[in-house]
Amino acid sequence: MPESLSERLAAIKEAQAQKISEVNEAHGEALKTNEMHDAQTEAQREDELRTELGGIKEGFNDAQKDVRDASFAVGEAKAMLRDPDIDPETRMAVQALVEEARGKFDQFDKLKERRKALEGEIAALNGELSPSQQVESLMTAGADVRVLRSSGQLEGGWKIMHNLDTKVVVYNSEGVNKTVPTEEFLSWQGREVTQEANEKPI
Amino acid sequence: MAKNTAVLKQDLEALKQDLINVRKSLVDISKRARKFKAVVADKKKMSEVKNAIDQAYKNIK
Repeated sequence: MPESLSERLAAIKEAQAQKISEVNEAHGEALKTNEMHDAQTEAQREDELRTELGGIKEGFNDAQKDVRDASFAVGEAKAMLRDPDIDPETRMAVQALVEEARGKFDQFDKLKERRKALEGEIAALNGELSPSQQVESLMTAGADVRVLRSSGQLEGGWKIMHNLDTKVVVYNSEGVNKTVPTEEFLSWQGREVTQEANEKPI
Repeated sequence: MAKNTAVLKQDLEALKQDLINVRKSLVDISKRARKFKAVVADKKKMSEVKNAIDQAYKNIK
């Protein structure tokens, strides 16, 4: 016996509701899988960071030996300048080399500071430091930090002036300083900079 | 605290590359400094030999 129109409509509605429910369930499963995938990817990235950091430590130890070697060789070359018989051309070349070496030693010192800052940030990422310790680590390393301006842009190139209990005082190259809550300040540090401090007047 | 591992990885990669470059420069500086030392020592030796020859020539005369 043929079904009435209202019965057929009700059957269609029920089938639709069933389909919607199935789709929602599948979507929920997919979201869950995505979240698990994201968490795994994040954990993998953290592992990679720790491995890279270990490799960089070795690189720095080797570089320290290069610095000692260069320092010794340049010291000997510099000592030659005491000899009055050295021709002017050689003298100038040695002096230029001494200056170049000084520049490279400075660069190496700056790389050490960057490494310290990164170590602090990676340790913070792994939850190994308290918020205040994280700030302390960035301040000790003289790291460039990020500050959210009132314009809504995240600006790089700031430095930490003071690490207070729950607040951080930061300043920029223009001498402007700001006091911000520590937690809020730390939340800005892992984000992409949208503007550098020297790109616009403060 | 919202940390971005991708940013840290980029920073680490950049640091690694800069370290490689500084190391290359340091090795190059060491080589050039030693070369200067060798060249100056050679020049000095040559000058001493020349003086000795000049002196011997004078003595013969």
